[in-house]
Amino acid sequence: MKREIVLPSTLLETGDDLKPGLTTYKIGPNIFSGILGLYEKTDSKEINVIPLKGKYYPSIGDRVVGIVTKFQVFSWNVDINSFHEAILPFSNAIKKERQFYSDLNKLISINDVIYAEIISFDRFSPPTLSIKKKGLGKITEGYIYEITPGKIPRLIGKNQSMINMIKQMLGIRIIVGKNGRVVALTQDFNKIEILGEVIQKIENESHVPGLTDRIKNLLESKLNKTS
Amino acid sequence: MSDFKYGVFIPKIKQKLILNLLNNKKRVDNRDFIEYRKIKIKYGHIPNADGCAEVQLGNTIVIAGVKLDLTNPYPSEPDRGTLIVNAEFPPVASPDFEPGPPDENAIELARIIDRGLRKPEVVDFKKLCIVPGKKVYGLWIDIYALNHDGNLIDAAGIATMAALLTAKYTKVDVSPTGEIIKTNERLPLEVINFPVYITHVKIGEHLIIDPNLEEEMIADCKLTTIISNGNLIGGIQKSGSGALSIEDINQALENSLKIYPRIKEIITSSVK
Amino acid sequence: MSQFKRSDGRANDELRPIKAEMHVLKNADGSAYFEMGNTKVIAAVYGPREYYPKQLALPQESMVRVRYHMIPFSVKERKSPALTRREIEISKVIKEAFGGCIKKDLFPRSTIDVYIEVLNADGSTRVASINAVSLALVDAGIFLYDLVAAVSVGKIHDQLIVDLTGDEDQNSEADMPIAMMPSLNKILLLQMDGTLTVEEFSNLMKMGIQAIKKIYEIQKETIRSSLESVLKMYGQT
Repeated sequence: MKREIVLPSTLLETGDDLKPGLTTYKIGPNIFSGILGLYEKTDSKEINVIPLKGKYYPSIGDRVVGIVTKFQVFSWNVDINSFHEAILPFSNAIKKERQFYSDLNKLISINDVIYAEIISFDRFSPPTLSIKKKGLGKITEGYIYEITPGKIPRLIGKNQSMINMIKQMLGIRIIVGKNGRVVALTQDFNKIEILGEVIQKIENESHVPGLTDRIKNLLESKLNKTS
Repeated sequence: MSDFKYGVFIPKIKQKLILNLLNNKKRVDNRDFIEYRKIKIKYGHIPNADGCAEVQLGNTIVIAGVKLDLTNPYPSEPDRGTLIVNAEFPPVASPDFEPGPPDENAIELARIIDRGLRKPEVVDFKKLCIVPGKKVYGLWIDIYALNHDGNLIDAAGIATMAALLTAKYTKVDVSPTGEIIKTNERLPLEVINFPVYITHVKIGEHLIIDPNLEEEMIADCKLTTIISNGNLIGGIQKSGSGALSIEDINQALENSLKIYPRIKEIITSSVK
Repeated sequence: MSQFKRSDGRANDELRPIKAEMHVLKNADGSAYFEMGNTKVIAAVYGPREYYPKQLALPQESMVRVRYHMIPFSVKERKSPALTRREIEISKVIKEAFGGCIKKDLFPRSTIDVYIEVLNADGSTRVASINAVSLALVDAGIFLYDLVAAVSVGKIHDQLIVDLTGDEDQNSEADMPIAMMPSLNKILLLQMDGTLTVEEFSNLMKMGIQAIKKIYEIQKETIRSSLESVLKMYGQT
């Protein structure tokens, strides 16, 4: 599992059957990186690099943490840390059977935080969100952290191993948005600080192997101090 | 006002958290209510300036430059050098700053800094006179925000003082025929007054010093006090549309007088 | 041979000392500081982000906007803060240089805003700015075909030189800033002020490209070392 740090114009692979992805480009049979990131050889024919920097690039089905910025006629504009603002139409915000439009603008207003799913997106139009499904909706208390979206998979870990370890050791609920926003659902400021250090460590060291153990050690030492 | 803001959003849950912490006598970064963030001062690194200083106040970064040129005195003050303070909030410093001429906040900052330098005078402007009525030194202070994480005013004040304390300008001689000749000698500016700019914000019932960006954005209003030479109030400015009580203002003045020597010491020891 | 000596003792093809650092500003999406001798610039990138007014956004790709600006005390005689015609022209050529280097069709109807502040000017400010902007774009995670590296070359007292100081620029018979994507061998910025023979021009291009390759290595090293300091901490290099 050797991951290599690559820069724009680093040659990654050569092969006529290979295809470039969102983070790479092809000249002749050669595939080059377009960003600063980590590259790992896989069996896939589409070559991609794990970004170490940059904003969120939306993907249908992703669950994201957004901040409401504007109030339009029948929708809200939501900042999702991407190159476009997302839209949450009123019709996608109705959760209960008999909820009326007039109730909705009291429910969600500017500067509210929501956990939503991206239900449609193409490069040319703003992403559309929905909060209809269970587990989605307005977040009413907690602390928001920001981390580079490319590092969210590292925070989640293989089979959710890293995030489950963190949740268990801290004993709090955590919402992870694929767009690089993480919310700790707690008012315990001590735990909020510890999670902040954990997230900062992942931000700084995601490219260094052995991260899971280091995070475990960090949590153990911080929790022992306070118990 | 334009109908969009790239700007910075403070989500409601964060506002709630900040207020909750304040009600429990805590701040998000664990500071006391009258504690400043870490101050780092770098100076003398802009060779073309006559004096310069770059200040980091937490994550806020402000750079101030001093330049002296030869200019005509104001008709009402023929024997004194001139002083102009200019401040800009360039777009590098925040998504909230648009390119263009200084907005009302930048202009207000420049005028607040100016007030502390003019009365009492930070330098003896009479000594900056070359030929009375004809030629004097013009003292230009340019302040640029490089990263806005709250409290640009206090950071600008520290940068300005550090730049003035380390500034050197070219001495000129006047020939018998009234011609002005530049020499090779560089003179230090003699700083005779030491204003320190101290800003509080009011959030709910709480008065806190050196707000970071989030605290500044959710504050009801802001109060900047200028303390000159340790015991004189050299200027006051309330900004923002909230209200202050007399007790708030007295508390802020009391805090400022107490903090003055600490900030002055940080500046003078950094530029030795 | 003439007794030509540059005022700072450099050889004709020698670069001034370079210092570079990424991620120097916290609010910007990407930022970098770049120093070539006494020329010191800071660059900040915001974006890609929404372009307003929305109806004027480009439908198929991102806009790139550049604002090159010199701080009043960055030059020997204090300069007024307002944008001059020179700053506007430099902003344009820098914007067009990066237009050829950024993959813009990934983010239609958005804008990538680049802001440059020159803190101290001692010649070659636009090339130092370009070198800084490349790093700032990488720091912002924006898709680039390659880094852009730039240098100034010129002729003074009939000598061909690289990396002109402010004084050399003032007294030169010709000065020529060049920017390119070194791995792709593509020239993105080229301007010349003065007079040159065809042979002088050709030699200057060769000298410029060689110097650009050196600057390119420094840029790549700056990027790697920003990550490697952490790797070293855990004995991973």
